[in-house]
Amino acid sequence: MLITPIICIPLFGAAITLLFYKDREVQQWTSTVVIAIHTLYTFLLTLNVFGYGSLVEYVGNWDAPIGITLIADQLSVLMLIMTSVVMLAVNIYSRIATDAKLESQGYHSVVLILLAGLSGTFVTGDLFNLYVWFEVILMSSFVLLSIKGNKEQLEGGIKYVTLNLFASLLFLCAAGLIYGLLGTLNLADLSLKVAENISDPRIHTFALMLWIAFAIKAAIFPFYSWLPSSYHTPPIAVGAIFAGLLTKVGIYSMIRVFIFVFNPLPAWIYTLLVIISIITMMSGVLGAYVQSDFRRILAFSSVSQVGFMMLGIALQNEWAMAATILFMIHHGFVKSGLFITSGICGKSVGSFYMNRLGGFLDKSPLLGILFLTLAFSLIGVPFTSGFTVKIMLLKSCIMNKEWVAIFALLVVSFMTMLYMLKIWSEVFWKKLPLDEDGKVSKSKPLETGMFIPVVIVLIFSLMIGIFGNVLSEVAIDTAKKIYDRDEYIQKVLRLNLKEGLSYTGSEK
Amino acid sequence: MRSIILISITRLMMPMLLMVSLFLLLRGHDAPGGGFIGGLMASAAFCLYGLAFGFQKIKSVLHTDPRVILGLGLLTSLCSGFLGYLMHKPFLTALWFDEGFFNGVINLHVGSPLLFDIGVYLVVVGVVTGIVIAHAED
Amino acid sequence: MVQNIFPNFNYFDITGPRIENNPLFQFVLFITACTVIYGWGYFENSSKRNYVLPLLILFGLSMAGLVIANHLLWLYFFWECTSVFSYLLIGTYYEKKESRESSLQALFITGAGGLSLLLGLLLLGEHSGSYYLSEIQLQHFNLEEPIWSTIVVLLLFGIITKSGLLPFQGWLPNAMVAPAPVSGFLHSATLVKAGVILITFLAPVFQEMPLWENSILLLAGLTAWYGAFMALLQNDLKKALAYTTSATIGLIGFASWTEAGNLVAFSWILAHGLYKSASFYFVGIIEKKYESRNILKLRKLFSIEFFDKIIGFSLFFCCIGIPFTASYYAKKHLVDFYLNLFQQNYYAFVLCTIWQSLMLINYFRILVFPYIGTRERYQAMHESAEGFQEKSVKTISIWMKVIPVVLAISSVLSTFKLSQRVTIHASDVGIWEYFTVAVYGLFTLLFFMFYRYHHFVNALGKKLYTEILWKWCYKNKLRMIEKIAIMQTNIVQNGYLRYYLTMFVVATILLLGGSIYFYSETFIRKPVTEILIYELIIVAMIIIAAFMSTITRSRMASIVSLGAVGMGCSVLYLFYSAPDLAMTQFLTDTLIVVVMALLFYDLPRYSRLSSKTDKIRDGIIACIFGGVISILVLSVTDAQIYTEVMDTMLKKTIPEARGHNVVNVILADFRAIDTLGEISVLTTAAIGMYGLLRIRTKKGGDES
Repeated sequence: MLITPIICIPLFGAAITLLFYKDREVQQWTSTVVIAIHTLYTFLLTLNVFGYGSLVEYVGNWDAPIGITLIADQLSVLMLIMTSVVMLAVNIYSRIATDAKLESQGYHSVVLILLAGLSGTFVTGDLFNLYVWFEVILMSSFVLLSIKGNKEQLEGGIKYVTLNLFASLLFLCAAGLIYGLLGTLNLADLSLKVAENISDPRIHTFALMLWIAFAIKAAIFPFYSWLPSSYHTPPIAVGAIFAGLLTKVGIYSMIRVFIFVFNPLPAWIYTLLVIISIITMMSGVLGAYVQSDFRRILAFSSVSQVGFMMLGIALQNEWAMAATILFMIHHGFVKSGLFITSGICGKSVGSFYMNRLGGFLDKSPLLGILFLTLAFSLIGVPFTSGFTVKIMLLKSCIMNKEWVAIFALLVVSFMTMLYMLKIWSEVFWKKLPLDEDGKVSKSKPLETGMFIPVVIVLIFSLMIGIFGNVLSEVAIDTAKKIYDRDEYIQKVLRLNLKEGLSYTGSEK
Repeated sequence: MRSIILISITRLMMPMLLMVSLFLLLRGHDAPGGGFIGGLMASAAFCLYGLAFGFQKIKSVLHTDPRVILGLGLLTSLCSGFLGYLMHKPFLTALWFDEGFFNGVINLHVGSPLLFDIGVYLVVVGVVTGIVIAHAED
Repeated sequence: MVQNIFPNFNYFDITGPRIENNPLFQFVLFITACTVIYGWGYFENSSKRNYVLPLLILFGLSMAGLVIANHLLWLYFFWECTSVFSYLLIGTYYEKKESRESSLQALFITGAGGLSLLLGLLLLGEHSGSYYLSEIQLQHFNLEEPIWSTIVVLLLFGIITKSGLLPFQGWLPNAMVAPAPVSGFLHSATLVKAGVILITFLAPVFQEMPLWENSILLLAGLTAWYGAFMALLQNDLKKALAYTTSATIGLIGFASWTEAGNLVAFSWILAHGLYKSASFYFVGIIEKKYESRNILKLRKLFSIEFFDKIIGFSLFFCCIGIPFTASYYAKKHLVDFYLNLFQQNYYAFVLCTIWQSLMLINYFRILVFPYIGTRERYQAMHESAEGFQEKSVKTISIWMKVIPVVLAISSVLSTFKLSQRVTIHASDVGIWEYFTVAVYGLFTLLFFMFYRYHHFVNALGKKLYTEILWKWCYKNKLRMIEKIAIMQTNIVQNGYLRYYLTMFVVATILLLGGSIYFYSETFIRKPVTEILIYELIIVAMIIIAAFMSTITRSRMASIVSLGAVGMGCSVLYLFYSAPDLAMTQFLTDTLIVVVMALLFYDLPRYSRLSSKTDKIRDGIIACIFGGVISILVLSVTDAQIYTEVMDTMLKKTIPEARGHNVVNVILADFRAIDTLGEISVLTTAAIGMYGLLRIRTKKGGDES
């Protein structure tokens, strides 16, 4: 099965929407159809990968270290599923809550390009190609962030793009330096060559440099400032995409490059990472606790959740890695659902400040149930997705005897509960406050159709919780393949294949 | 306030610059040049035109919106990749007229990389003209 | 190590053998049914009915699950569910701030306990090798290993928070803002028992551990006394009931730590669940009917109906345990247990007697005292009839009246089951008799003593509660968290981009520079290549241009200097025989200068935002960063270990890729998908610029 369509389908859609730049109807339908096809293709790919093992495609028919290789392994397809489902949910949302101004600015084209960038990131097997997809994501997310041109959005957008360009700069430098030293960019080839020179301190330093670049993308302390200053500004649909998907790119790349290729590094680096991830968790959660803006709480909460994922990476065992993999997916679903919920509430009242919001439980009990389930999922109540990943992380901490990390994990879970319930109490329980003139604030009625995307992501998130025993095994299997690189390398470099086979690209 | 010198120079230079840009595009695979450089050259030509006649006029020269050019460019590059699918080869596989399936039918050293380069060329033109036109639009 | 720790949805994981012969399970279901019926009546004509009743049912189910759960994580699931539903139920009147705060406080404490319990259960599962309670109960462990102490501490923390044992008892009285069905069901009959129930489940494992025994005895004992005293200080009927509840839970905890006490614990849980929830529902009726639950206010009412008085009296008798009620047998079990436990230690008996007497006074105050006030007595005391009120009595639903009666009757009926297990020796009967007589005597004595200082004691209670418990245990903690949070957020996230950028760069310098410093032998080395004079000149030019662009005051000069930097670079590319790169660089720079110059007309005036010291600081940071990157670049110059990819590319360019310009072949063939990505970047950038610039021009048009 081919992998490239996962990138080409959205790009093709983007081209079509550009050709019909005047016709919003066509653009809407194109993007819906394209994202639906993308989702379908992703599921097919997933079935294929879990059925017959990972897929490899040599783009341009050039053999592995020379050309660019795309690989769809278990990790990739898991990430792809999260991406396409979130994208589908957001697309449904933006179809229901139409925003004419946004769409006339080329929203659909940019979203499709962003989808292509995300898909590319998750299937590429080449360091520089990864950088290119990073750029695609960076540029398209910046455009989405500032597309409506409000002052607030531009301010957030400038912060976002400046700080992320710094990440790109570091990534580019690091990729150049690594190529300068090892003469290859293919991840499989690279990991072989790194393994041969694993004691070279230059490689440790370059790995650290890459880590910083990914850490900025993933919003890890002290590199997270861009996230809380930009996530609360964009339109809701965009915010949901951001919250669901952007930080995961950083974490994914950390797994794919920092762990997969550069392993094992000296122990002090991992210890440092454990410390950093604990600080990230605490710092994010404290930040979330003091915010009074619905979306800023969610933004800071993303930081603390990223700390969880980083912890899983830093702990260096299979359970922890599996926890991080599932955590990314869980968080993608839950956070985008929460952002859409915040959008529904905020749009109805016209403000995201919690002292202006209120009375949503009486207004729509269904929305209340949805929010509460998502919130408990984030907190980690049993049989929600958050629980599955929390248990896995806790177990891996117990296995590594990281008592400080366990303590931090529990404290952060507790604080997460506090701030999520603060939202619940202020937005859903409290009555709608009076406005400045002492009148009852007006709030628009809610469209039930807007709940559909929340329901979709919620269902997927709950599945992670309910099928925790199955999915944890899948995740552990995936994690094993990350630490045990042989299968991947053999597949990509075709080391075990006999000569004489023609280069037919993807293998059936 | 239009400078007559600039206008007349532009009238003279514009076709030449565009020709050069096409030349750079076509020879790209074998000598310095290529889609990106060609596209930049062409955009420079359009910018020159804009400086001389006003940037709003660029749209009438292009006969279409820059976004369509962007879309076309993207589509062209993608199509050069899709050709690979048709030949049961991976995406973006270079296919040549004087080789493989077409061998003997047309003996030309032209292949899908050129199509890809044309796409790049179009995108670059679309980007620069788009920015310049948007700036000038009232 | 247990491999798969996640629970399944099958019979064995959910309950397994633990559902068999489990009186608690039936008890919980029974109480749930009663409460739902009562709630149906209580919320007649109220919009809260649709909110409370489903939650009550869900709560009842999760409580029933909790008492039968087998897999530890199922246990935790039900445990958390009870916390969550309790949170939602305490906040029934969520429009009121008080309700919201109290419910959050309850979850604040039980949630913290829940997390500790989770860790405890995980450690228990990992170290016992099984996640099934039914299997763990049968095993014996070497409890002297330090890990078991940790496990016990963690589990106990969860247990005492949930059951409202000292010192985490503060949330329980506040939870009384909930309506009567919720208080009766959750905060006396079931939820708060969860902790002691878990103690009984774990007793077979830990009973030989001194830490387990001592800490439970200490905390439960303290709570029993504390609750009994605090209840005396309350004028609010429900709060008084809440304190008696925690007193009783203390007592149950006192007995439940060992397997031998299980019978005592279970019979108390049942008996107390029945009579206490009945009392709560009775108070609910009073509250509904007379619109007050203040003992003093109620005493001023004439119009207490005879029916209410009768129910109050009979519940009082259920509570104090006159013969043939459930609590009578529960007390008998308790005495039996103490006799065995303390080996005829009569000090324990004296204490127990006093405690029982205090509880009697409490029940008397709650269930009898408010409803027997008469005009004559009051007049005699105050010589005026002013305080008396004549109030119309609200009618209430029949379902509300039925349920306390049903519960009281079942309290009597359940004795058939409980009495079968009484095993008091003949010689102990004497003690049991003495005990009962002593209790009643003391009760009468104490009641009269207490009654004289009634008002003083009440004032004391109020102060104690607001000043110490609420503020110190909860409010101050929250405020402390908030303070820390604000402080750290102000430091890390202060809103200035330049600050963030500085932070990012400094952190990068620290990490990379640190690494270079550690490995300085590898990194600091002489460059291999020779430096030519014309290279030097161009580099100097580039540096000067870059410097100019930072210090100049005009934007135009700044962008032109940046252009010059670009030109210098393209000349360098030419020297190193990269004509494609040079051309691209040249054209891009030209276009950038042109476009920027166009855009500059619309920007606001150039202003200086940073002071001179800031600039110097930033300059130093920038130079260090540049230096770090330069060292890294120098470290790989001419140091390539592997070159086969490069060589193969060069080799394959002409024969296989059929081109002569390797740069273009790489861009359009070898790595064409990179280029595809880059042109989508360009497209996106164009769309963004196009949109943004048009918005700007539109806005400008509007203004002019």
